[in-house]
Amino acid sequence: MTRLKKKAWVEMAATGILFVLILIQSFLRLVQVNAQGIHLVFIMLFVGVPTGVIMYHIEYRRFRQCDEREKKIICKAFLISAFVFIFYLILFSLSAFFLIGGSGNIPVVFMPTMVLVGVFLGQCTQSFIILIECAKDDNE
Amino acid sequence: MNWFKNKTFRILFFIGAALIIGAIPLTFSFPASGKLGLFMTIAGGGVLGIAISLRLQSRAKDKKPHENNLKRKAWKEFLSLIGFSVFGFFIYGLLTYTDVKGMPMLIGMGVMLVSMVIGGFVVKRQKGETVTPEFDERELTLLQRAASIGATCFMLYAVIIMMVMFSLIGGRGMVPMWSIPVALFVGLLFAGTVQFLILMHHIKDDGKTIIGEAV
Repeated sequence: MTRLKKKAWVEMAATGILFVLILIQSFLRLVQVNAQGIHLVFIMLFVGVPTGVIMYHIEYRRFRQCDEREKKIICKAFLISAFVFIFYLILFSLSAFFLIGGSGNIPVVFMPTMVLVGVFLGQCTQSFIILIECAKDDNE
Repeated sequence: MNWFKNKTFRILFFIGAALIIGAIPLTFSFPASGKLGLFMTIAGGGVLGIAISLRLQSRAKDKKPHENNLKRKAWKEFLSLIGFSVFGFFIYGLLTYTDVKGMPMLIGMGVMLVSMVIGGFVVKRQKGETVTPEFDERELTLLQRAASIGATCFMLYAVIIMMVMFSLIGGRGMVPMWSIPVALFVGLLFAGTVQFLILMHHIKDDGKTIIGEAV
């Protein structure tokens, strides 16, 4: 298995486990206890910012180790996945807007669910594109 | 004003303005006219948007030979984004005010969006066949880099906004429906502005390098 294929599978599995099993469950638990307040923002920032910075550094170090062809494939996959994420958010929010109406209300729990599912969808797209590009290279 | 010297822009502008002005008495004086006033306003806004987009494109075509392609593209995209935001805000506000909802509205909007996307795709493809590619490898890399950073900023913005709203309102709270698309479009505007600023920064660096080499 090439480095790129391994990266695609590992990222998809990690995102799946992290988002679907852990984060959505955590948000549902927060809904159950109706947690709210500025302290919750600080807790999330305290956990989220260092995790994000560490993940970014790991990803950047791995990216620098890739060759030109791999870098090109990763960039292309990232851009397409970002557009899928944006398109999904637009589609979701406008559909909800036209179904419920502008003056209606929506439970706030829909927001994290919408964003997290979008991120998962984007990650899946990125992994699929990398796998497809790898398969094309193998065929050539 | 320079823009009004263009005949197409003039015609489209007056049609759009007439539709919007005509919709005002229909909306406020004749409630029996149903959603006609709303559709006229949306159509008017759309016509104005098309007029401005066409004018911006024709201005971009009249470029000077020494003008930087990247700079032109950055400005063009940024101005389109601003124009889209202004008219989008106008139409969106109207849709919220009139509280349109229901499956027929969703299907109608879906059909309109799909036809717009297909139309845009066909026009782009036709243009792509006639116009030679205007960017070299380095410019394409810069464009890709700016787009990547813009997309990353948008993702970060979406996650932070979601987290803050969820935490402040509380898990069982409710948010007004209009606020979600507004947050989304503000994020898109933010990402577009970041992309524009990064491109302009690279263009400025290019200018310095060229001057340095000449010296």
